[in-house]
Amino acid sequence: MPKVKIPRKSTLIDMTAMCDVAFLLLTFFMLTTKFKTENPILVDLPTSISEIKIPERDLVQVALTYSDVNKKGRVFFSMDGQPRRTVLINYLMQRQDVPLKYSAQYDKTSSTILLSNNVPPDLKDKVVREFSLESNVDVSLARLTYWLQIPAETREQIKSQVEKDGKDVFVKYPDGKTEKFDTGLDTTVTLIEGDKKTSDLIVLTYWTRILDRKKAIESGIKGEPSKIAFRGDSKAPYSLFKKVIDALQDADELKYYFITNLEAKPQ
Amino acid sequence: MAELDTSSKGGGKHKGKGKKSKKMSTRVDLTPMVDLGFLLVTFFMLTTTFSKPQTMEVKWPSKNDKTDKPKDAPAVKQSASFNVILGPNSKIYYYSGMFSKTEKPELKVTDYSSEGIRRLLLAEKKQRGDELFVFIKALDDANYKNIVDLLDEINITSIKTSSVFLVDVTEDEKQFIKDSNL
Repeated sequence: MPKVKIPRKSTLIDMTAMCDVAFLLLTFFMLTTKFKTENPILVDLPTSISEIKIPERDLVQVALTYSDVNKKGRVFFSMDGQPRRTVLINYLMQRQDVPLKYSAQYDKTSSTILLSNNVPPDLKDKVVREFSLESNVDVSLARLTYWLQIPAETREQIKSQVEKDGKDVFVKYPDGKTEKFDTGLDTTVTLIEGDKKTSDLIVLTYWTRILDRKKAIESGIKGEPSKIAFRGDSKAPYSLFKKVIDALQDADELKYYFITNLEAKPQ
Repeated sequence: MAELDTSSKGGGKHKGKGKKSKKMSTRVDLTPMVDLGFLLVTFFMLTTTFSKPQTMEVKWPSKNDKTDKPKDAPAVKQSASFNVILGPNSKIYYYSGMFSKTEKPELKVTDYSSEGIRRLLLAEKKQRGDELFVFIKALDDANYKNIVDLLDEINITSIKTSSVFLVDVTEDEKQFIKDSNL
């Protein structure tokens, strides 16, 4: 009896179809993606029924945080777009809103930022570069230039030490004066020249508007001005919110977007 | 025996006789390409943010000038006002009408639930219609969520934003709340 021949089938599968699917998905994700911005400011957003999507571009965010450890709210400012930030810091430094007076070093053992008066000539470039890479303005404008000289990882460490662990960090000035260091913008409003007011937020929104105008002139289109969005923690105290609103009202910024999570619409 | 080229029809490239071009398979092993494709898909899937957060658009009144106020805006009547004071621990104090040293309305307390402030706002709206003015005030120990929640309630009850005002709480009112012990 002859043997029954079982035909051998090839184990190779036609991959073309699978390849098609893979690349279809790939194209879809590539076109819909917007990379997660590295946003170290974690806030617990409140909810609302509003369904307006957050504007994609030309957004400045004011974050209000609250830390349970030191029972304190802080304000942060962030601007999207590296080129825009580069222009912003240059403006700030030209106009002496952010003076570059000290060079800084962090001493870990005593948790102190040591400042000295000698400023190397290449320091300005370094500060500009660091600012453009950092999406948030973490500290008050008065502290910004020396803060940015500290390496990024150390900055993160200091931030978590101050905000999460509630440990004290100090700043030692060249004249020997020591002061407590804290993150977040300075919300105090000071009067200059009669009834003109200034504070960190007023200065920052002012330059944001200048940036908008510059962009409009360069592109020749009257584009949408940057929108101001609040990214507030549910527990951020009202007093802090009030201070921020006051400053923005002084800067004649009256339209805000409150970033919220979606909640179901009631019937 | 002469071989016949049966495969190329009408192409005319191979004129047949003699030279036999060696045919290479056109099949390529696509496995690495699929691998690469899925690797990239995974990458994009993990880095993408799908659900963008929502925003609530709010316009605030200007501090100094009243230019952006519509001309036909009705005059604010204190007597027709509904005052909402946001307190600590998600408490809402509210009263209707005027408040002065001599004239003290009844202060009541409610919460952020749909049976609480929403029902009150709807009732006020039904009763007074366009005459309703809502004054929102907040004590210092209220929080950001309270403000957003209340603005959201205003949105839900579709009260005109032009008749909603966010004002500071006065010292008298603070005392009033303290005294009423709610």
